[in-house]
Amino acid sequence: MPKLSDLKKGEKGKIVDVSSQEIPMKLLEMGCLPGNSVRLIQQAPFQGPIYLEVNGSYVAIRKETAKLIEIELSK
Amino acid sequence: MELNIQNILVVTSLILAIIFLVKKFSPKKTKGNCLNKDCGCS
Amino acid sequence: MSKQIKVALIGNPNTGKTSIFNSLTGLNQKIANYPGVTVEKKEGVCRLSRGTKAHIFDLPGTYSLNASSMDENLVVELLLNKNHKDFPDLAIIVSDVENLKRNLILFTQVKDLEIPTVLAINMSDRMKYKGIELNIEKLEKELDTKIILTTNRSKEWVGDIKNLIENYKELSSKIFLDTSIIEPEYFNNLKKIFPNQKLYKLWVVICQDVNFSNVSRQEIENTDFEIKSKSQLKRLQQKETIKRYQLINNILNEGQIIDSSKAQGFRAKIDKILTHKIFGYLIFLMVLMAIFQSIYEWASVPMDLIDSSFASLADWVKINFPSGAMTNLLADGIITGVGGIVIFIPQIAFLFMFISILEESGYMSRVVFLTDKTMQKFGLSGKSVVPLISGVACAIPAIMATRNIESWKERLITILVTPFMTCAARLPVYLIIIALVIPDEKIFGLNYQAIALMSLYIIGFVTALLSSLVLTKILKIKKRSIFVMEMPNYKFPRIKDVFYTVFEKSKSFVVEAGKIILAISVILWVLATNGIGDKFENPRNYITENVQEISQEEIQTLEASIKLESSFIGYIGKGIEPLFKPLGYDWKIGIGIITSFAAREVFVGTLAVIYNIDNYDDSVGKKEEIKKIMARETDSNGNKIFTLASGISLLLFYAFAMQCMSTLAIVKKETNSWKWPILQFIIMTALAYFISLISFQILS
Repeated sequence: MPKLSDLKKGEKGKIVDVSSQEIPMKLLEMGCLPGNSVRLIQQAPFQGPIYLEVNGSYVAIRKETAKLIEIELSK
Repeated sequence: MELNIQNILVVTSLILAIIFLVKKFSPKKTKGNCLNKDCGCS
Repeated sequence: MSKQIKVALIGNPNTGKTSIFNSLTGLNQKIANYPGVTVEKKEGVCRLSRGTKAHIFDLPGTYSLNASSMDENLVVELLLNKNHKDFPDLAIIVSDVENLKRNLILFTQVKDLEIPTVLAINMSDRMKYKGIELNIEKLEKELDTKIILTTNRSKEWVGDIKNLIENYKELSSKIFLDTSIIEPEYFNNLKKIFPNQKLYKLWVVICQDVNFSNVSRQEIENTDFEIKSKSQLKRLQQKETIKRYQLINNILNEGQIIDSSKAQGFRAKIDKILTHKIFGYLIFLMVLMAIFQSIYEWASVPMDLIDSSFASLADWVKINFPSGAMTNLLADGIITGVGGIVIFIPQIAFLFMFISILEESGYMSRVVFLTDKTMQKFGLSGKSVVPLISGVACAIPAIMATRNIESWKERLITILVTPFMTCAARLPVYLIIIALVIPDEKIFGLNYQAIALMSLYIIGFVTALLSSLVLTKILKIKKRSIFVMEMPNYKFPRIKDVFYTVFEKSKSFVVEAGKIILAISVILWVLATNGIGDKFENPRNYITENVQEISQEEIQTLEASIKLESSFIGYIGKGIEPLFKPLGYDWKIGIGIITSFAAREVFVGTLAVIYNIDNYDDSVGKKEEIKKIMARETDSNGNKIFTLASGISLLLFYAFAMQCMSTLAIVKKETNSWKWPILQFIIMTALAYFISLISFQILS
């Protein structure tokens, strides 16, 4: 299953599952929940944080966190 | 130092200044909230 | 006395809550700290009709009532405690029109606490442009609340809000979501054990790490109630969030239409440039340089004005007041000392202005995004950039700005290294020393003095980074890599909001520092003009030069300096001189350094007071600029005191030493331990002494 961290710039996906134990609550409240679609807007250089649009919110998270979110790629 | 109004004023301001500084920099009791832990999102 | 209505302004960060607060209260506001915690408490008064007043509390921005930081804890604590003196009669939830869905999560949570609630949908003037249409009537009915559309463009809504505040008793306080549907079995059980408590309130208390006075965790844990593990609770919280989103989505499907084709053009275009992997960094550098350049260019005019005004004020007092000790204290001690700090208000105000613009416009988050990875290499977080940049103004608000850094280790290191950043209080010291020892000449079109100043800023920044690198290696704290940051919309900062921030911050800076400087000036002046012993009483007998051969004026100067040396301050100064001698300082600078431990900017005021007394000259009736007096200073062998070697040693001392009691007090509060401020003080000051010692010994 692809992870959110696999998303490339401009690509979209749909969140399938989040390992809720390790994910900060704040991220869930921003709408990072199963079923919502997500788009990668920008990737900071040197494997830095990623900048996402999810559920109408714009949020930046580190790659480590993105690895905990499973997605389904969409066109 | 003779006793005149100006000298009295000077001594008064000196005392006020010292009281202010002592009060300002004496440690106060504080209540802690976020102890040694990751207190951001969890 | 008429009843005062208490209103809490609550909302997600970046929703323009502060603009609404400013519109309602104007300059009738004060910023204080909540007792015990350094969370800023902003309170303002709003006048309603018939003499009633509303007290408006601008609470820290929060995404939900699942508090995860100190700022958010405070919101929860206030809303849960009915006995709190600031417990609101009603809450105004400010939300951003572009992200109603997320903003409504918080709205529904507050509503479930059974507090009368008004929904303010802000930036409503952008609706059309963003392709959003709202059916207000429908939303009001479904959300069971009153909705006000607010905007920065007009003021019409202010009256509507005031009306609602006045008639808050008519607002509905019914709950939105029945908490027990999250997990019926668990919550019905809870309801049975605490029949008198509100269910949602109980749930919030169970989930938080803080204690609330009227329902304590202990009370809950003491019953035979089934206690859930942390991870079980989290799952329930997640369930709650999903439930809320479901209900909100259903409502918005009917009450809101979004034409997404119009949505994100502007934002996307700007983001493309500002977060670009090359241009992003270049632009950031350019922004920083532009800020520094303009601070020095723009601030010089008002600074000269202030300088001359204070000199003439002192002259005026001397001439027009009855002569005596108090008049001298006023003119030589107080006005000179306070003038030494007031002169830096323009630069400080500009600095606060730029920082506030960077934050308000949404640019700061882009910088955080770009720098996170680099900062992580030094053991910091991208979010440390905000405190580090604010540290150029003042370490105190900067350290308070570390609060949104999630990882404790990254936050602690940021707190510890921020004081290395060149704060505004160092500026007076730097400027006067640089003017004294660095030639005002140009090389390749660059001014030596400007280069020197620039280097000091760079030294501060590099030291901050290097020490974090060292601290990451030394500190044995387990680190979790958490980082969640909202990327807000770009917006033009509202001039009024920027003005209020600059005004409030500069005011508190000057008042706080001013009080200390005032007190120290008084004490210094008294110590410097009083003494015991024959040398102080009859200085003329101790002049070594042949009195017949020198002019009356020179005799006066010599007398004054002998008198100062044998005053109380002279004895103290001479006592500590051996400590500072190896660094190239005389006893007067030594006194300046000692008093600077209250606050750095006291240095200039101290020297102003000491030198003024030394050079006191009634015949001319005019005050000399302190710089000129300092340039003339010599030691007993006739060598200049302020040379390149001693000057640079002094500059470096101020760059590294931890000379700010207020910062130490904040560090103590924020880390909740004496350990960190004490370590910080010892290490920074020792480093300063060591480096100054080496630099003086090499240069001299």
